[in-house]
Amino acid sequence: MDEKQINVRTRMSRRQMLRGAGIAGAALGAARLAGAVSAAPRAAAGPIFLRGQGTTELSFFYPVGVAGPLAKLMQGLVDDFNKANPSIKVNASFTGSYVDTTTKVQTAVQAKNPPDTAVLLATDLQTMLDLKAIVPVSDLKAGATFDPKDYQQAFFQDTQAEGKTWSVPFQRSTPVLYYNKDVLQKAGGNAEQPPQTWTELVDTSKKIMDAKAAKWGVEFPTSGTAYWLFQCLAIQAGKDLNGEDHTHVNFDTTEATDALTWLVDLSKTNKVMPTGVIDWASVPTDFSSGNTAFAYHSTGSLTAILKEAKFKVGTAFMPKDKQFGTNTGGGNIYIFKDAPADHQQAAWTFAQWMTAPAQATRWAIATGYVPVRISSTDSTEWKDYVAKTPQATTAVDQLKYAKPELTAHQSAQIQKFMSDAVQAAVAGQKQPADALKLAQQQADAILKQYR
Amino acid sequence: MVQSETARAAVPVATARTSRRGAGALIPYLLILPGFFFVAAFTIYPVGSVIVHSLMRQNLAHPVPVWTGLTNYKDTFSDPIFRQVLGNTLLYVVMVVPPAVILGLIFAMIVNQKSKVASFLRTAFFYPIVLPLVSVASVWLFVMTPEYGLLSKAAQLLHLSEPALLRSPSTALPALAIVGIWRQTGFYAIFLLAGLQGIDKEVENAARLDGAGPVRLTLNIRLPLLWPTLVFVITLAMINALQTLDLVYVMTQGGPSNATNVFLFHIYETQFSFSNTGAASALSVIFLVMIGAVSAVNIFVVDRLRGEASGA
Repeated sequence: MDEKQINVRTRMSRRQMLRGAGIAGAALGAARLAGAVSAAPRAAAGPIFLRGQGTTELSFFYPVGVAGPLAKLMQGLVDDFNKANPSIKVNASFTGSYVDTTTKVQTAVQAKNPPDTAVLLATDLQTMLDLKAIVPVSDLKAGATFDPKDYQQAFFQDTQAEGKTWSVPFQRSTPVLYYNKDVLQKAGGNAEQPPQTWTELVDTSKKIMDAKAAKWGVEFPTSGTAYWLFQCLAIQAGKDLNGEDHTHVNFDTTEATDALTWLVDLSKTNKVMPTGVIDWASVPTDFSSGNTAFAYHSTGSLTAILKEAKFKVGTAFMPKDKQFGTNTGGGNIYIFKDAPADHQQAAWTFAQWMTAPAQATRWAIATGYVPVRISSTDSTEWKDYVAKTPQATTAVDQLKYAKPELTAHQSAQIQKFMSDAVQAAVAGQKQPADALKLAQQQADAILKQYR
Repeated sequence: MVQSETARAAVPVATARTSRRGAGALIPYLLILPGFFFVAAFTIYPVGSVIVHSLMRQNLAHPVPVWTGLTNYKDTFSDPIFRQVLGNTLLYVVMVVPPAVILGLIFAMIVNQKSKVASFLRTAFFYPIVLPLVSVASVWLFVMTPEYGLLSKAAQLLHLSEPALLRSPSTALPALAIVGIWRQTGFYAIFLLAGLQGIDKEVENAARLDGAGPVRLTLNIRLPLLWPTLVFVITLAMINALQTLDLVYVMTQGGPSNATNVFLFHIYETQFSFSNTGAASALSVIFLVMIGAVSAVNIFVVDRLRGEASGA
C-alpha cells in the first residue's frame, strides 16, 4: 500500500465520520480498505493499451529484502534486458518487502489480474500452487543456454514440486555471521579465527564487552520474519523446523527449545545482546557503525555493510551447536498462469536472462547475494571480486550445510506463528517451551486441513 | 425543505399528464434512484457481501466457498490472537481518546483567548493533521529507533538508559498511542474551538456581570454549552482510534509478537496475507458492529441533548 492510498482512505473515512457516519459509513471504510489494497497491483501493472507494435510489455513485481540501493540496481538490470531484447519491454515495479509483495501478488491473482512475472520468496511455492496461480517453467520453451544443473542445487531444490520446475532461483542468500575484526583483535582474539560454536560466541562477546571494545557483543534480529534466522539455530541444535512434507512442521521439539533458550539467554543471562525484539533493518547499520561486534544477517547485505563499515569486516559460518547449519533464503522468479501465453513465454525469456551466469555474477557482486549459477563462481569477474572481497565466499561455502527454508501450506501464516513465538520468548512474555508449544498447536490446526 | 417542495410540485404535474395515478406515484422513487444507486453499490452491496462471506468457509485450503453457518465466528472468538487483537484495540482507544480530547480542549481554550500568538498556535496545533500519515509514521519511527533515534540520542546526552520503545511488547503499543495523540489532538481542538466560538457572547457577559471568574465561567458556562460538541468529538476520536491502521502498518507491522496487532491490521493480514476470506469477513462484521455501536450511542446522546436544548 503506498502513501497516497493510505491518505485517501484516512481522508475519506474522516469525511464520512463528519457526516455522522453510522453503521453504513463504517462498512464503507472497511470496504475501502480492501479496495485500496486490491487496486495497487492493477495500477502498477501498467497501461496495457499503450503497448508498442510487436513489443510484448511485461509487468514485473519485485521486493527488496536486504540493505543497499537494490531498487536502483534492479532497474539498471531490467533496462539492460530491455535494450538487449527489443521485442520485450519489462516494466519493473518495486513492491515493498517480501511480505508486501506476496500480499500484493496474492490479491492480484484472486482479482484475476496478476502481474506477468514477479520475484517472490522461494517458500511461496506451496501457497502459489494452492492458489493455482503459477505455470511450471519446465512446460515453457527453454532457450539454448538454460541449464538446470548449473543452478546451485541448494537453491534449485525448492523450485521443484509435482515433478516439475515452477520458478528459477534469482536472489538467493544464506544468513552469515558478520564480525568486526578490529574489535576481535582489540579484545585479545585472533581476527582470522571467529567463534565456531555457540559457547565460543558467547565467551568472545563477553570478552569484547569486558574490554569495552564494542557496546554489544552480538545482535540477532527478531523483528518481522524472525522464523528465518531462528530456523538456522534449530538446524544447528539438531532438528530442522520443516517437517517431512508440507503438511507438517517441527516447532515443539527439544532442539528448537534449546535453540530458543540460547537465543533468549544472549540478553537475559549472558547480557551480550540488547534486550527486546531487535529490528531486522537496523542491524546492518548497528554493525557497520561499530555498535555490535557480531551480527547475524543475510549475506545479501554484505555489499552495503562493506561500503559503510570503517573497520575490517569478517564473515563466518554461523556458529554451530551440534552441527553447522543454515537455511537458504531469498527470492525466485515466478511466472503467472493468468498471463497471456505470449507474455508467459516472454517472461520466461526474461527470467532466463536475469539468472544467466553473466547476470547472476553481476547481481551477486552488486548486492552480496550468492551467485545462483555454479559457473558464475568460475568466471573471471567473480574470481577478481572474491580476491578483493574474500567475505563473499563464506555464503557459497556454507551452502553445503544448507536446508530449505521453512515452508508449508499457507506458509505466510505458519511462518508468522513461528516468528510470534520467537518474539514472545525474546521479549520475555513467554517461556521458550510454552511459546513453541502454542506455535505448534496453531500450525497443526491449519495444516491438518491438508493432511 | 427544498426536496419535499419539488416532490409536492411534481405530483400534480405528473397527474395532469397521465390519468393513471400509479405512474405519478413512481416519480419520487425515480428521483431518489441515482442516490440510491450509489448507496446500494458502495454500501449495501459490500455490507451484504461481507455478511454472506462471513458465513462461508473460503481459504487457501478450501478455495471454493462452502456454507458453514457461524463457524467462522466461533473460530474467531476462540482464537487467542483475536482476543489479543481485541484487547490491543480497546487498550489503544483508552490510551488515545482521553488524552487527545482533554489536550484538544486545553489547546482550544488557549487559542480561543485573544492574543497575538493565537494564529501561530492554531497553525502549530493543526499541522500534524495535514501531514501525510505515512510520513508522520516514518519520522516517528526514526525518532524512536534505538541507538540513533532522537529519543535515544537525548537519553545518551542525559546519561539515561536508552528507550527501545518499539522493541518490547509492553511499550510498543503505548509508543504508537503517543504518535496517535500527537496526530489527532489538533484536529479535535479545531472542532472544540468552533464550539467555543459558537457560544453566545451575551451569556458569557451576563455571567461576568454576575461576578463569575475565568474558572467558574469555564466550568459552569462554557463546558455545559460545549457538551454536544464534546460528545461528537469523543465519538469521532473513538472511531478514529478503532480504525488505526497506517501507524501500525508503517511502524510495527503488528509486532513484536502481535503486541500492536490492532483490529484493522488483523483483518488486513487475515485477508491479504493469509487469504482467509471467511475469517476476514467475520472479523469485518464484528468490527462493523463495534463501530455501529459507538455511532449509535453518539446519535442517541446527541439527539437527546439537542432535544433538551430546543425544549428549554
